[in-house]
Amino acid sequence: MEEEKSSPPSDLTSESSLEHTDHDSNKATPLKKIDVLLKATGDAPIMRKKKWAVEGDKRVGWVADFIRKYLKLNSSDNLFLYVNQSFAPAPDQLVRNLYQCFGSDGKLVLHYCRTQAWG
Amino acid sequence: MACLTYEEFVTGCRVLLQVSKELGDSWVMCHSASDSSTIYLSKTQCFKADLSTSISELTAEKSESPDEIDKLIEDFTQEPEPPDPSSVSNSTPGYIITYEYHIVYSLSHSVPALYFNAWYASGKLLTLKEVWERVSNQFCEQIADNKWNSLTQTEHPVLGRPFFQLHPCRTAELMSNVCCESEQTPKDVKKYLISWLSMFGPVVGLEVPITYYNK
Repeated sequence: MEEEKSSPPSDLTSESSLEHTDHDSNKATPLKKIDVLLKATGDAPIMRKKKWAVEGDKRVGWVADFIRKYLKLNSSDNLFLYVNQSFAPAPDQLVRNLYQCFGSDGKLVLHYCRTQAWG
Repeated sequence: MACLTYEEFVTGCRVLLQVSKELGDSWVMCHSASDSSTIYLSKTQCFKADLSTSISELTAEKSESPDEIDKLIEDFTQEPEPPDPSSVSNSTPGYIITYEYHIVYSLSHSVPALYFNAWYASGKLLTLKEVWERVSNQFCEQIADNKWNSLTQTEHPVLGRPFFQLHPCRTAELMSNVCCESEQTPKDVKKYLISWLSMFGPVVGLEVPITYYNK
């Protein structure tokens, strides 16, 4: 896999990081990107690049699909995304809403695990 | 392994009921006819038959397969077309399916288990095959890969009637990964059931709004 450099245009990322230090992001425009930190739990593979800037109007399902592609998972492999160590958001939930509810220190931490859930 | 004792399960149920009442949701507590100390939670919900496809429209991958992950972030534009109210739908007319969900304590696994039944407006129960087909898109391949071990019909432990069940065998393992930061950190009993429901409910159409967790 190639070496990742900071990916999105740096002016957009740094601008969004500065403006996300407070939680008053009701003023967030749809294009404002949110710093998302992806953390592995259990025996899930750890992503080499963990911190991503994601547009607020992207949905959780998009982030899940992205992690699947990054980790080269099959669609039959289990992947659970959750926030605050406990709650699995719906796939159609906006990243912006998750950040407003669960974000801290200017970022949203999303955990993912690959545990088989049923059976 | 993050298991629950029956007393912890009852505590979790009371918390979930309280939150449900505050949010105007419809969970109720039911008692066994033969033993009033045995409880389970129940909720009934109706769906239009095309509910699962609306989720697939929102999460479906439409971008070209990327060679670089970074390019994916920049170029991924997945916006479903806004619905045109003047367009005529040529799909089959929607029909209503009623789901009744039960949260029951599994004695053999010491975890909650999700049971449910589903029927058409005529009263006809869905078959197992139809239930498998209605699993939401996010999970359908995972279930299909192992369906006879994941989602089958079995006897309801309290009511004694056939109900569909998401197998609870791996629940403790999943919850220990999710809820417990380490072996030493005790699980939060009050949040356990809501966390568990947010993982298992969506598989069979039971969405848990984000407001449950804010309470």
